[in-house]
Amino acid sequence: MAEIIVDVKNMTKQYGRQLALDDISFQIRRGSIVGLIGPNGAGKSTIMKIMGGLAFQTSGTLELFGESSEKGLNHSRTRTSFMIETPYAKAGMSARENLEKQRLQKGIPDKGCIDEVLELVKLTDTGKKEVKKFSLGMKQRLGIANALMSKPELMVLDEPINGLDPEGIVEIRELLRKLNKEEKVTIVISSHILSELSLLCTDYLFINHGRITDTLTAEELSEECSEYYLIDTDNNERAGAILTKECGIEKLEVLENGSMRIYEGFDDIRRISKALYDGGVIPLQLARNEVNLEDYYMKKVQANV
Amino acid sequence: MYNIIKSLNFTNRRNLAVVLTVFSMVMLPLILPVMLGVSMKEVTGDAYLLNLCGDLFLIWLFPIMILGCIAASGDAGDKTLHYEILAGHSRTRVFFARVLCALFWSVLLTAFFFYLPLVYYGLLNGWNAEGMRVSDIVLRALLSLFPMFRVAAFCIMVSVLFRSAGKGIGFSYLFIELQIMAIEIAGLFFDDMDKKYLSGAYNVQDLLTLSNSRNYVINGEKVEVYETALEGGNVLWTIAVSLLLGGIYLAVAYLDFTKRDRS
Repeated sequence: MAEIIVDVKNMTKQYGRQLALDDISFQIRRGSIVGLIGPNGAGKSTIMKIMGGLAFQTSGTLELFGESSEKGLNHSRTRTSFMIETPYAKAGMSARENLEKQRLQKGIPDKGCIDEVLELVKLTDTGKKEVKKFSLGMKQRLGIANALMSKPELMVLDEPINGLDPEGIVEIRELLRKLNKEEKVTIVISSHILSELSLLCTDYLFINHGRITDTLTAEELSEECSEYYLIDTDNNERAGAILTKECGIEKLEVLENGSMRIYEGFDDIRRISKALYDGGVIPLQLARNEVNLEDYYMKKVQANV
Repeated sequence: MYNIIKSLNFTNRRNLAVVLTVFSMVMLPLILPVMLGVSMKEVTGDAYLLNLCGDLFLIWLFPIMILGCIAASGDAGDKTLHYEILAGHSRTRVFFARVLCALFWSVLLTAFFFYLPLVYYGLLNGWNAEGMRVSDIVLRALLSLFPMFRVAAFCIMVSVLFRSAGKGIGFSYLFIELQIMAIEIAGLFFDDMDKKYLSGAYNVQDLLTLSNSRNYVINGEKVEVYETALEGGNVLWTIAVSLLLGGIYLAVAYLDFTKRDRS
């Protein structure tokens, strides 16, 4: 069993009357890539801010690398890199100057680390261009470069691929994967691009209204993400009866719009199609699909509503 | 803490507002005599001290405000300050690094440029007034650092509370102006009111104003002799009031900085 490096117990955070985190508990194992998933205002950034020391929890405990005292947490943060909300940078300075400022502040003696991280995020050719002239994607890359500079054991990234072009998304994904595999960096990442998270994460934490609604490993998700046939006809009620009675389909789900998902009988789809036709039902759609992270998330959100 | 100060100085040296402020501090004592229609050659060291320093300090409040607020909270507006906390520096360490840096830029640096003309005008054009002892002038200059600290601490507090250098400068200016107005209005009602400790600016002006002069005629020539020595009470009160108020301002800023969430 891998070492637990983040341990949150019964954490609550209240902003005035608003409850941002409601008695949440979770653990993060060393070497994992954890996706924080939830709608805007769910509490993802609040968790990250408390981990980073920018906000204080109202109650509960936080343990980073086995440390929970204020001094110990500060020491643990030297082993961690954060990119929370937007990648902050001095708008009037270049990428290199921004990184130099952070290098000085972190007390990193090796000046070469700046070239190294600029190369990694492909920002070497920005020269003296001021950050205020950067696109959002370039700012994201700079934020990631800053997070990489201190060679962290744990990276906490809030929406790191927001604003990146498709090529950039793939590059950052590969970079994070490489850091995780080769450098054994543990990563906590939040994103609204769930398809990306599903390609990267080993664990998922679903958050809604300040509560952890579900925790899942990638293996558990793949079990949940079964294949199905989406069937839509001109008479879905009758089609449902044919599918259950004549075709013997038991794993059937009727969606809100009346269309159906069947999770079995894939080898027999010709027979199903014929049965529907012979029963006087005209299939409008008959497509093979897969339940992905997005579907799973939507299902969870709807279940919560 | 030293790393944070290095990083802050790195940023400040690249800040256009800081560069322009320092440039203005260098140029203003050179331009001012020309603007007043006085030949540069007539400005002796003592003339600079007697005629310009007191009033010039009211202008000098701006560099104190600008440099203090930028050094303390210039990174708060764009949130790059957050990186210092995220990097594992304790909030106490971040706060005191910023205060030390702000005091260096807003007190020591501004005082250096404020008193520098005294030296170069004195060396270039001489020193005319009689009775001025260098040790007394140096003591007055050193003592003025305390009320300057008081003003700078106030500006640091305002910028920390508002989490913005811009708002810090604006509101510090507003509060200082309102304070001076209130003191002046109160002075209309209380004739014997001692105003000098009520405002840091007045305290500095008082230290730089030599009012104990006597006129003598020596060998048929009229000579103005100054009594530059400070009274013991003045020294003590200046130090005590400045440290007490400056300490209170910094304590308020510290509590806000270490106890409030940063969003």
